[in-house]
Amino acid sequence: MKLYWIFLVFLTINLSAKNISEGESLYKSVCFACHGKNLEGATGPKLTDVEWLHGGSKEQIINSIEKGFPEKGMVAFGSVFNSEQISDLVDFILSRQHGLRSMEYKVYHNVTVETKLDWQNQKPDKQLKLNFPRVNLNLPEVDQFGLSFKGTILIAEHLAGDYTLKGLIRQQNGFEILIDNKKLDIKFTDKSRFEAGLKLVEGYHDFEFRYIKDFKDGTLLLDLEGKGHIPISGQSIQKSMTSSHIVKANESFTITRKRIQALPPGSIIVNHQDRLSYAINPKDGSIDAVWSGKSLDIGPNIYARGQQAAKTLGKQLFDLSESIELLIDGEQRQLKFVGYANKPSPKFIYRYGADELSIESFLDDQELVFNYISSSPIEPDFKLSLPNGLDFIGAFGKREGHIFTPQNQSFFQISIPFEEVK
Amino acid sequence: MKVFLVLFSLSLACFAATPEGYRIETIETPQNVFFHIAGLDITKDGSIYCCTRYGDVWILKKGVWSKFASGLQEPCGLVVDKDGSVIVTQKAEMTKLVDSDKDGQADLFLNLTNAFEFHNNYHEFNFGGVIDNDGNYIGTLNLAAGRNVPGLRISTMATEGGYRGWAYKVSPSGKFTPFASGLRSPAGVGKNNLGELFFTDNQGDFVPTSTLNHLEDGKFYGHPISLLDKPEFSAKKIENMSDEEFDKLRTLPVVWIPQEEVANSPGNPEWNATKGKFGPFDDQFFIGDQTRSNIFRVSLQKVGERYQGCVIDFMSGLQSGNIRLKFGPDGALWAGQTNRGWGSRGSKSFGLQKVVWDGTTVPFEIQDIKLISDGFKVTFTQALDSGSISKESIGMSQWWYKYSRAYGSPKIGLQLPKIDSLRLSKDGKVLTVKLPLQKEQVYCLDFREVISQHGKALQNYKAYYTLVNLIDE
Repeated sequence: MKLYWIFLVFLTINLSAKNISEGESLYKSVCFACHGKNLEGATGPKLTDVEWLHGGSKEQIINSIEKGFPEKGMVAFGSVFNSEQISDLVDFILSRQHGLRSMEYKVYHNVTVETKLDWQNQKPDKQLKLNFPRVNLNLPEVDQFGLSFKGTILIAEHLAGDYTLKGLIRQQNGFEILIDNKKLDIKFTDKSRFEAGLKLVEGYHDFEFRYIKDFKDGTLLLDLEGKGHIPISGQSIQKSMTSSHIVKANESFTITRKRIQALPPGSIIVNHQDRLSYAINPKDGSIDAVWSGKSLDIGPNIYARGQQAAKTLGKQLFDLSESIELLIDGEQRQLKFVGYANKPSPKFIYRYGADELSIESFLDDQELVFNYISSSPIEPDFKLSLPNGLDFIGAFGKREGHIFTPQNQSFFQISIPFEEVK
Repeated sequence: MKVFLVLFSLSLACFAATPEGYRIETIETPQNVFFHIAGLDITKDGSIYCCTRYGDVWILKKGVWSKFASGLQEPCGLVVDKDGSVIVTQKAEMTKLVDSDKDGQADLFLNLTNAFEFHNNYHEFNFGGVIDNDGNYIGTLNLAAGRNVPGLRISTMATEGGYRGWAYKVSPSGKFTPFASGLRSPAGVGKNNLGELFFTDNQGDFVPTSTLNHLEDGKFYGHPISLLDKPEFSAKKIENMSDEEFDKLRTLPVVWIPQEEVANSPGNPEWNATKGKFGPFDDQFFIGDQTRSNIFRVSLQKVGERYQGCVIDFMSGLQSGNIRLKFGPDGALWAGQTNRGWGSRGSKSFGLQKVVWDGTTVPFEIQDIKLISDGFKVTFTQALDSGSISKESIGMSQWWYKYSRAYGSPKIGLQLPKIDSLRLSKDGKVLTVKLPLQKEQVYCLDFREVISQHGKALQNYKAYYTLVNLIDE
């Protein structure tokens, strides 16, 4: 441990300000697109915490940047920038490191708020170092316990200043928090929310969380808020991880079902080549939205309990207020959804009585094309009602205003031109 | 930073309460993939099928992972059908995934049913993973929850109708039949050796402590807002009814699973039909817990036309919340794990582990407890040291739970009954405990002071028998 401490301190003071600012401008012109403006991570990983997938020493980070990870979309920057530029860039990244570092926890069995605990001298029943430092009240395997977490918090230069420690816990007694060996003055603002003010200068601070279980629920939110946001508890870290997570289709297409803002429950999203997406309704076959550019950010929906809805990105051609409706005998009908196929292109299959209808999509240059194919014993009366003002081309049928009437009910097609969004 | 902080990769498993002869093995899941498992099945050739809350289906075959499907909406149940298709219960739909061109990836996503309603609430899970004896696909629909959740709400949970809080089946031809109501958060469905269906429910409003229930046609299991979908009820009627009135309608569980002692969020009941491959615990349910990351056992006894039985803890210290259990053809018990949204004990957010028996060591455990007309017959896996048995050395307690709209119930009417007599069988393995019995009581038998003939203490020394019906002489 000591060794790593000395190494880090040494490293920190040796980063020259000039190198860092050179590195910063390079970061802001290139790397931010994938790793986030504040190195918080987006499609690429976060670059400020203890998790380094390919090693976190200066040499290892330089190596990662030079060689890249082409299979994950990161090019080999060694052929783009010279070694001095890359070295400056890594100095900048290292100067931005902050948050929880090495952490150890101790469990004391059968301790209650009444029996109390001598935190300095009592021998723990279990003592372990954590790979990923965070406070988690659910680690012990016994039912009644005392628990301490001891570690350090690293504050980067640009984040030094006044902070408020904000927390949520289901018990008001039996826990305390120490920064640099000084107990924080914790004040509850309601039944379970608490706060404490503190000042954090640049560098390492000792951190300790002491807790005796007094209520069965092990919920703990713990966040430092000031010039930056530093989540301390596992639940806070999980909550803060709502960075974007964008569904990518690359050269192909994806079909995704998630809870999506402003779209009906059960909606199915098709993303063609990250250029154009649409939402199709499994209940009635309507196309409820079409948008160009990036498809979906499902980040909000795949962390925590999934309370937040995923978001559509890019530029909308139309939204739910004006769908492409499939009319049968003049009306939109509830259809039986048979399912979808994904080979060779997305194909959605419906039934209405004895009639079967499928809707296929593909991109043709800068047009989104829908094929409507019906295999029915008797020719049904299909029509499409399209959004007013939507530019479209209908084939194998005639267009009157926003209504398209096919000539041949067994096959018809509409194409929707769109502008690329970069 | 990982380099300066490559800390000690200690597994918690080595500290766990593991019965002798059993070990936990951790299976590496695909790198950089959110692998919160919520559906798990294993085929005869030993292939492991997992669906993840992220929305993928993955297959582990001969040690290699491959992605079978993606883009699903938080599927929470998976079962491989006879024809090789994969049935998943995603939030808005029960879906059959077919690999028609046999390239190892699903190309048809067929809707088995979307006849129930999903209203985009995060808590509206659709659990499944079971095919009944007639080939019907079984699912259970979670109620909604959250601060400003719309719909009918008389306590914590809510419904906007559409058979939330119901169990349903879908026939092979696609007919949707909701068949039982009163479910709250029914996170696990399973069946016993006869193919009878069972489900677990999680403690909360109208569920005083978590339960295992026998899932039968037409029954109501206690959460009243699901009654909204019955024609003879309305929101207004339900709002005006008392807990006592609902109580008269409900079917009692097979067992109560004591909160904070055995389980807080039980997953699917998995029947041990391994014929000895998993040690001395054949023909019992094994159930994982999502909060406590343990695995416990339930044995069944049919008394007076209904099941009741006994709960015994089995093993703790798995790396994350065990929501899914499945026995493999080799007799190992696989555990699919997640902690997302609801914390769990252990060091990992998600993963896959298996519990393996060494094939020879018989751990000293309570094997089973059966009710007799005037007491309990307790079977142990090893012979007892008769010197360690006395009326004073065996702890007895009994209680019941209060059914109400409050969130969970403490133990009600807790008593310490006196044992009348004890008798140990000749082989030292069967102990008959006689005492006065009452209906509708949980009896906890505590054998912490009992030792085996080899001088060993029990790893899991408590057993909880839910007594609903007495045995008539």
